[in-house]
Amino acid sequence: MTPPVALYDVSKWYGEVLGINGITVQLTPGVTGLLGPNGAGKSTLLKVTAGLLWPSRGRVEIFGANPWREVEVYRRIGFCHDGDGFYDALTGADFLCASLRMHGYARQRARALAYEALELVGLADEARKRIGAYSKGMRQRLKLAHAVAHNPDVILLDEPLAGMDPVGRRHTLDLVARWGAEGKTVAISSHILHEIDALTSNIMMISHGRLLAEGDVHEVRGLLREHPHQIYLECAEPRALASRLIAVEQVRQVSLDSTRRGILIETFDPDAVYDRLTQVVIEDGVSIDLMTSPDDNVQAVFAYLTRGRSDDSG
Amino acid sequence: MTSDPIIQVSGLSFAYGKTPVLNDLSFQIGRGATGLLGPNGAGKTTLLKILLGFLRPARGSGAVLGIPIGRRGVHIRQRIGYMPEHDCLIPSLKAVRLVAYCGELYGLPWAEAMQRAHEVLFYVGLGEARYREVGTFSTGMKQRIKLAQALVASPDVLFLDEPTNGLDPSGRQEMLQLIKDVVAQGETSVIFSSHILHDVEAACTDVVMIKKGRVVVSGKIEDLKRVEEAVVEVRWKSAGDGDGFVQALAREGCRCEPGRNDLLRVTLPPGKGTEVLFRVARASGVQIRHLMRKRDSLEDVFLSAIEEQN
Amino acid sequence: MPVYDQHYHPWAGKPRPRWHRWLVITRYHLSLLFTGKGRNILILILVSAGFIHFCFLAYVYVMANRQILEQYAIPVERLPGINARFFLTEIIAQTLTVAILTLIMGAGLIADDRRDNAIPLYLSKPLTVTEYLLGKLGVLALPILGITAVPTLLVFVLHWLGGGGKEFILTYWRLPFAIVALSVLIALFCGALMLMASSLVKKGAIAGVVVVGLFIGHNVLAGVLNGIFDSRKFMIISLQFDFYRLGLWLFGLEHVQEAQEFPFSGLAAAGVILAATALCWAILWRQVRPVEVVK
Repeated sequence: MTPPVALYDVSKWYGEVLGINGITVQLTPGVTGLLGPNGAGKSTLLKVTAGLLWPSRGRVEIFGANPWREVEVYRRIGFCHDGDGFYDALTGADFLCASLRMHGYARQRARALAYEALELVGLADEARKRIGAYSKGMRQRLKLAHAVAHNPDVILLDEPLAGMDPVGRRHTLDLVARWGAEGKTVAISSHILHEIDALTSNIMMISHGRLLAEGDVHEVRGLLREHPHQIYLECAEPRALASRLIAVEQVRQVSLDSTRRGILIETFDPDAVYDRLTQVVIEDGVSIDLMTSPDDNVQAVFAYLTRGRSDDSG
Repeated sequence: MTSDPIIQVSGLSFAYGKTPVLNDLSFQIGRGATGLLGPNGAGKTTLLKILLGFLRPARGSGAVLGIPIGRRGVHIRQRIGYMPEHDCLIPSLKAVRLVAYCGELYGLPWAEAMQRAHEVLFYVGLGEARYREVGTFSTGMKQRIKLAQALVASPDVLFLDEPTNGLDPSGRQEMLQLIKDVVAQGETSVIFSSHILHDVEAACTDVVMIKKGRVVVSGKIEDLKRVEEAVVEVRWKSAGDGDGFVQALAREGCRCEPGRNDLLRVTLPPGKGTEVLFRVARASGVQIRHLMRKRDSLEDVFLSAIEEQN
Repeated sequence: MPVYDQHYHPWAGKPRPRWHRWLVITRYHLSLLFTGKGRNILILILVSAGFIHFCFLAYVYVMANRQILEQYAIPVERLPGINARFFLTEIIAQTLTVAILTLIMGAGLIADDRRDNAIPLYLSKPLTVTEYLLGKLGVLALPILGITAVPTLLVFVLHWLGGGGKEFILTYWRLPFAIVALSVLIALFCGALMLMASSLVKKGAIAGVVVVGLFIGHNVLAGVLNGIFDSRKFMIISLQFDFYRLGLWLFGLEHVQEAQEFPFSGLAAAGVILAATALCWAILWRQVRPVEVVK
């Protein structure tokens, strides 16, 4: 089966400025979080994928077709750019309608699809208002509607949450999760890592135009062997538990967090430690209030991978 | 140091023409860091304008740092620092010159303004970029210099409007750390207005949430988050699909349902602790990797408060 | 041997009084002028303004030392004397330099702030709109006074001490006030007009074009109206005539033929000038709005 989105050794330069550098990746149906510091090349990657930019090197395929040459495949791509450019004099509905007409839909059908999309993003009440009168969050939602009105199979979203209020964010994230569950291929870029963490565990990280990692975030974490695995526990008597665990051979370090009744364990062999931990808990009848791996999430993996790589540091 | 509220308003009302924006708004904000939250159109912006002395409320009264709002905006602004959401810099100026200029606008004598400008630029981490033109700054640096110009005259209250806007994850972390550091010094209180509740949770201890011009929730963030002792969220690792684990838990009297974020939400039977989970896990050959009592995030608090209103 | 705390230190000083806060803005802009790109033109203007005053000063000098003229057999009696007319001319002679100075220094004053969205930077500080505008006005008004009132008063004093003596000062004691009044009105009007244009647009160059357009436009309007109604009354619309008429009145030259020929009085001219200045300020007030600080 051809993957919905495939990039083969894709590079893009703007004159002498590097956008992305030798990226080979395939996107599978479901939601993929696209992460990276400012200036890493996220927008370039999405634009190249959407066929809006010509890659300086390499090949982009959407369902096996080149999006730069084969206009037909545009029907299957929805793109939400990160800018803020609209025809302020048009109403939201007219704007979507015009865009759908350009996709080749007949007037009636375009109208119906436009209202459907507006309904979807929660702008149905504002459909007949001028875009100029929209708030920042409403403009973002309109961009989203514009990206999905023609029911594409590949949805590329560049910072769709920027400027949205918490209600809008939740609504949008729920929508994105739904599209992913429906089997569409969605790529979403964002700086708010915990929102991506809650949305999907499938991530793609880039920095300096290069791919740093892609795949399941927990598996990626497992591959970062130079950082010991961390386990954080809270229970009634942390000191007693700590003394039991320090005896475990695979435990590298145990530290006490006196303010929060917690202990932090570091190990290079988490499987063994989790086994022994379970054993200790059952034998001693310890009631664990909290057990978590503080660095097994998108934020921590991002920090490990981009440390010292930010293009935006002061 | 007094425990007087830094901001106190009562019965504040305001309308643009016939559109009411604030309706009988009353709240108090004490020292420390407080998040000011609300969906778009809640009246946050209007409230800020009134507090900064740019608008006069139609009804109601209030005070910032004990200075009554309304006529004396300049006196209020003398003692607060405001970090606007949008870019508002003079691109042709060198960073240190811009910050010193802002210091002079606060009334610092020239030499002290210049000295202070260097200090705050070091403080916000722009020490290396002090002699660069502001126009060449990246988004993260612009946010920092906006913070620096608000801090230059040592305000008693700092108003931050979306301070993490456009920052990448490391930039956001650093900005939040700076804000926390300012608050920790104890001299400056912070009013933090943002749509990113995670940031508010990280930097603030209190929140005031407004909707349609009224306060819907206010108080300490810790107190607002409900904890359900009997409900825990679990993630585990197993060789197979782990269905056996879920069934075994059910046999022990636990109620299991899928939760957000690939977690399993387990309601423990009355009187039983979490060790039952470990016992069952051991028996079913899976490893529990994550276990946490169900507790609301600030987002849950926010969204449920908004829904109650509707 | 202490280790000093390197953390955030609040500033503990006392702010300066607020009444001269606006001067901060004026001083800032003036200090930037000589580092900006308009520097050479600016120096050229100041030099030419100085040269004009130097000519008047030279005239005062030769009139005080008539033997120089007699040496070259120039009939001193036929030359115009040093009187009210002389000093009015000295100010009027600066019209062009004042205009160019206003355009070069003033075009970007507010337009640049609007382009960079820097107005919130000012108004979020303890600064009222009036103080902001006053600060910007000072950037124009002070240099304009510097090339009109100040050197003219200097020439006046030098003539008084050098050749005029007691008789001169007793006759013309009102002149210094007239010099200051006319210069201040010129500075206020030019400043207000330029700031107004600058606040309407986001590009300094366009503000300059707007001012030149207004200047030409209102003169053309006056001419057209005069033509249609076959009268000279509409001359009052033209501000440069107003200033000239006002000058004649302020300098006590009501009796000269030129003043008689104007179809309106000096007071009316002053009224028109003040009304135009007030209009500019009213527009400025609408354009610079503090509520836009929070968006």
